[in-house]
Amino acid sequence: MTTNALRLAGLTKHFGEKVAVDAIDLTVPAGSFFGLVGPNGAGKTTALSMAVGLLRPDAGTAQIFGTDVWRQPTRAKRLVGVLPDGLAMTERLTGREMLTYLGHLHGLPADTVASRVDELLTVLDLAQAERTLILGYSAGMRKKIALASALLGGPRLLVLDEPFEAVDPVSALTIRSILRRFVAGGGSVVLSSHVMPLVEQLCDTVAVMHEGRVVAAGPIDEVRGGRSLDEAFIDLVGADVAEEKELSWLAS
Amino acid sequence: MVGVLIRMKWTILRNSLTGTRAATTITGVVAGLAAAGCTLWLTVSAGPDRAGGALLLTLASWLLGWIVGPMMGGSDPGLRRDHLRHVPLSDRRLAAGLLGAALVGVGPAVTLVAGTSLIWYALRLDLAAVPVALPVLPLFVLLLIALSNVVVASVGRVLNSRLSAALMAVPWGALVCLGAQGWVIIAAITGGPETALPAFIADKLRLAPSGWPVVAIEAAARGDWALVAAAVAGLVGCIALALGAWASLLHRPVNPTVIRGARWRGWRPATAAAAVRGKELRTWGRDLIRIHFLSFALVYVLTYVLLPLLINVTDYLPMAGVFFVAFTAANCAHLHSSDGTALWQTLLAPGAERADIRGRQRAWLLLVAPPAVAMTAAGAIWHGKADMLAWAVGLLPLVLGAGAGLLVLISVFLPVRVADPHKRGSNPGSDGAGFSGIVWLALIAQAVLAAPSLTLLITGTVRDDELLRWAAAPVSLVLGVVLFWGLGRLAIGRLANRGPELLAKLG
Repeated sequence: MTTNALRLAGLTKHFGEKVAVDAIDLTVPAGSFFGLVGPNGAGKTTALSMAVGLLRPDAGTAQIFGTDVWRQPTRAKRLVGVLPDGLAMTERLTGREMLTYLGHLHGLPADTVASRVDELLTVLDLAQAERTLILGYSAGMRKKIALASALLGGPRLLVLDEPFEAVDPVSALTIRSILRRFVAGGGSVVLSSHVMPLVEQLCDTVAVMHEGRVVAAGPIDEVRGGRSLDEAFIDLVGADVAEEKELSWLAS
Repeated sequence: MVGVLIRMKWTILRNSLTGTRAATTITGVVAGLAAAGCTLWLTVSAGPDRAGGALLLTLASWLLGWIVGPMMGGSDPGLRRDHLRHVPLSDRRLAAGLLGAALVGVGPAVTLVAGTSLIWYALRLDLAAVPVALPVLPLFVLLLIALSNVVVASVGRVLNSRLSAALMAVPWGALVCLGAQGWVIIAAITGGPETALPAFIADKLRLAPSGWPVVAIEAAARGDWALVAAAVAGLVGCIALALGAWASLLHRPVNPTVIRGARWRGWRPATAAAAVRGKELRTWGRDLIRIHFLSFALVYVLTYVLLPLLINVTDYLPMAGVFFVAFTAANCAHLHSSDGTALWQTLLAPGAERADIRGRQRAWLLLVAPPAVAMTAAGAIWHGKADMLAWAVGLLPLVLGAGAGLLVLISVFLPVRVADPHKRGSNPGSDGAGFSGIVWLALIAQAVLAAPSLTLLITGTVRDDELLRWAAAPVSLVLGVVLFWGLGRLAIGRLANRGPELLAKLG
């Protein structure tokens, strides 16, 4: 039996001269709540896009529950639900229309689609915006409808890129409890974020990326080493945050 | 402030000469210089009696170009009001600053070059007219830029709905078509293209603001200084009015277009391809770029077949359906590009590539086939003779099948990066500007694919062989089905094998 939900080995991506992801190895145990953290431009989004089959790696492999994402894409895609950051959706449909469309595109039976869509819209508090096209959704609503589409197919692994960005506190609470229940029920979650307290609260395992490399990975307490994740993170990425730095023209 | 904005515009312009944008910029420069060259050549080479008429006509075209250009997608990607929303500036200073920035660019430069024809004209008439031509030239350029900016500002504010996306295609479609069918107008008005501009048209053109520089120069040559003063004052007044209108438009916020979805009445597509078809048909009715391009095809084709009625030619009418399909296919071959990065949703659905392509093809056929058949039937009845019927029947199934095939093939093989739908402005003409190359390619490809039927039709017509002409009909039907299936098959293969690369090019 495979115990890894996601396994990345030697995954590499160059954009011209720049090495965006530099031969990273990463293992996400099944049933874990995995946080991928790192400063802007660390390569989180690039790594996750390669892990789920949206960006072809220059080298390396990605496996979801032992299935190679790039060799057996159809099988791998059945196992994963994805929330990418900053990509468009089927913008000219309403939320209900888009979920119905995606449900059928994934080959789910019509009754299953109808009941899951109903439930998702209600739970994520999107049912009122019945005639609003995705195009007219606020940033927070966009995250929620994207999460709904990731959950729709009943995946075993969720890969979420910045799922809490621009989400209001009430919705964030809902999303957190959905994700916790998903993991409690045997699902696995990988989420990227740069909000450390959130990762500390939710995740049991973390990896820190910096300049295309994984600089630390493991159970969260191990990575923290008795400090807050924030402090550990700043140590790891070597950020220069001297408190003496000031803007001369701002009144003290 | 004006200085800062001008320097910023310079920087933007310099950056537009690097990377992928360089090709577009250079094409713009070449096309602009060609147009300016034509203007100069017409003025310089025309005989003394016709130079004035030629100048009136070309200056009017420049005015039209500056007004219609932004709606066709020619708006320059420089500084926008939105960029400066949080800078504390009065409307008037802002308008002055943006005008200053608008003066820096390819458009103003080539217009200035074209405008030197005014000085040429003055030299030919009388040396005394040259001192008038010199200040009138920059005024003319300033007027065009100011008017153009009023149009850009009002398009974004006053008109932003599905209807306006369709209406904005009307002048474009009609004008582009006039370029192709303009001989009809000339033939209708003058009886031949070689004649000088008729006096009654020249008189009308003198009344338009684009004619005032010519009026001023001609008046100066005659020594009619009162008229010179009036024409120059008119130009200055017009510029002031346009700037005032622009400043007040800048003051108004841009309201994003809100299109509502339909009330939910249940939707249970039987297959994945049916789901895509339903998604596509909804999108056709709600995407401003798609509505704009569809309307363009319709206006173009209607102008194309109806214009010859001016000289009592009805032969084009039965072909309306064929032209409509060919044009619509060419104008729609950007489906994946206009959907932008939404492609990830298809890529992550296991094995959805086939459904995506077939669904898009079927939706497009459902959209264009009924009006095409109706246009063909109505055109044939209006024409009243059976001579063109073999042509219409011998091409319609072919262009429908080939169109539905090319549509998806070009869409997946030649992605064009445009802003994602949720990041677009309110000007569908400008948002979809990158697609014009695809339109030409698709038109040429369709002509090539239609060759077997066309050969039969042409040979049959030349030899007056009824049987040969009608033989095009079954050939067309078979080819149509084969191309629909075969080109679609190629698109499916491409999407399945290179989907992530396509997404990378769109993102």
